[in-house]
Amino acid sequence: MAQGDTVLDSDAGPLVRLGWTLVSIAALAAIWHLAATALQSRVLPGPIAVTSTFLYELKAGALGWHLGATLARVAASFVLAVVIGTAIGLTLGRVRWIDRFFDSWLILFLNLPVLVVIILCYVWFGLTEVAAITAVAINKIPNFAVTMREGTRSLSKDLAEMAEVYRFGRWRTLRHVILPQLAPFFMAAVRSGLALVWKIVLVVELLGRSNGVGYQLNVAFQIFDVSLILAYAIAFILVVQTIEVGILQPLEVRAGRWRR
Amino acid sequence: MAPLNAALKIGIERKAYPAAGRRGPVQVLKDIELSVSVGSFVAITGPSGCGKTTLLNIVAGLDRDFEGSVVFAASEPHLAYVFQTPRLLPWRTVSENVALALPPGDPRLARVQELLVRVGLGEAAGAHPERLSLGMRRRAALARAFILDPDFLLMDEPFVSLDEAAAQDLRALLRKLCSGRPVTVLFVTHNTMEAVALATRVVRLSAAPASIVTDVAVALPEELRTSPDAMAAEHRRIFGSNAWADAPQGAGRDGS
Repeated sequence: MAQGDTVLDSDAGPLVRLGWTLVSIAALAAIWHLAATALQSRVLPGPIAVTSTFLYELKAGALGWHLGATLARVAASFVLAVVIGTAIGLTLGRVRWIDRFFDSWLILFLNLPVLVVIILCYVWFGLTEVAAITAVAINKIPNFAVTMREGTRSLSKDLAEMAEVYRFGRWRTLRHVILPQLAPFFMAAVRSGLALVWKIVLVVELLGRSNGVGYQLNVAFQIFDVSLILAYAIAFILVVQTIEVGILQPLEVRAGRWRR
Repeated sequence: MAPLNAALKIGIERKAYPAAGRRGPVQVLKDIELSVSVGSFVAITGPSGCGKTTLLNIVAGLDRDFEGSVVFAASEPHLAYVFQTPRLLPWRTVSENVALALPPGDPRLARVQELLVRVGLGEAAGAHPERLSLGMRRRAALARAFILDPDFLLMDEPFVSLDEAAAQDLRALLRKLCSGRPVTVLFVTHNTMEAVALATRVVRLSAAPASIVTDVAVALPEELRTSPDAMAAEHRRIFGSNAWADAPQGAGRDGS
């Protein structure tokens, strides 16, 4: 079963795809290098300069410290958003009147600008860790709730009846009938959610924290250290991609094994 | 017909679906009185959309919103339902699907594989349903029903959308699984010949709101169910003279 590669070329082997990725990244680096050499500007350092900044920050421990702080915030706010958002989504999907009542609240929160939530949280709760994490979670909860509501609404009535006739009981119905149907929605929400949470956390750090990648970017911005900005950006991309490829994709493949 | 040893008494006075949108309430069933004896095989036929599935859902306890009563002789009858679509869990293998019909730790779990072999799915036990043909999925649904050793088997056009040869194989399999068991079957079908081939009693329903039009015993001994002439004659007796020509041919026993 070589299926499950929902990613692009299912006809090409993994080595071929890896080769393409490497070639394309190398090409991008080459263009960057040429542009930096041609311009010779302080605000566009080349890949070699950025790599040495990256290594220096890594050795000094600053990179690890700030990345760690960001990761911890992402994890905390993400777990919060997943748990609360899923609970809300399941409730809205199951209970009609609650859904009707809270639908407009949901639309309001979905359209509330990210920055407004962050500023209000800092104003109301002070420049604290709790305010930062709450702000990120509040931004993500509505998206999670909406996706899980769709999942709950699309639950198969046919399978529910089957489970009732064959006396599955509550626990086995949940495990074998309901959760497998919600899994694709959950995974979709997790992936789009993580992509968003990463970005919001940086803004939160930039505005009101004294560590983390966002804070560090702000410092670099104030001293116009573009090399430092790019070094942190690359570190950030590496971590996000590692989580995507190392954790999320294998999970998705595993959950979709039964598909034809 | 009022059998003395009724296993099931159905007395539905009225069943209606509530109004939806601009449409008013729709009455689907009216005065359905049926007394079903132990071990009988009752075929229920009628025009499509007349409420046959609703009737089965009421008997299964899935639909409790009706006026009347459904009374089983046994206090806790073992009931299995083979739906119009196989309704297997696509994320579980065939043998897991069958095993899930049993409570955890049930001794019959050890017989799942044996039953799968009997229904011709010995090789497919570890496969996921979406990789199987419709015929094989229908076999899996049969296995899931029979692993329970049901007292009652409800079947809702279980062999529909199969080609005639596959449907015939499955009918033979159903007969084999039923034989030697005191299982009482309610079998909904629009294929009148299938009804004659399998049933001991045929109940015809009218168009909605459905009520019983005729309720006839099939007077066909087992050995004559292989004979096309005897079946045609019986079909004519039950459904009238020209219905035979309309029905798809070959629903009889295939001699197994």
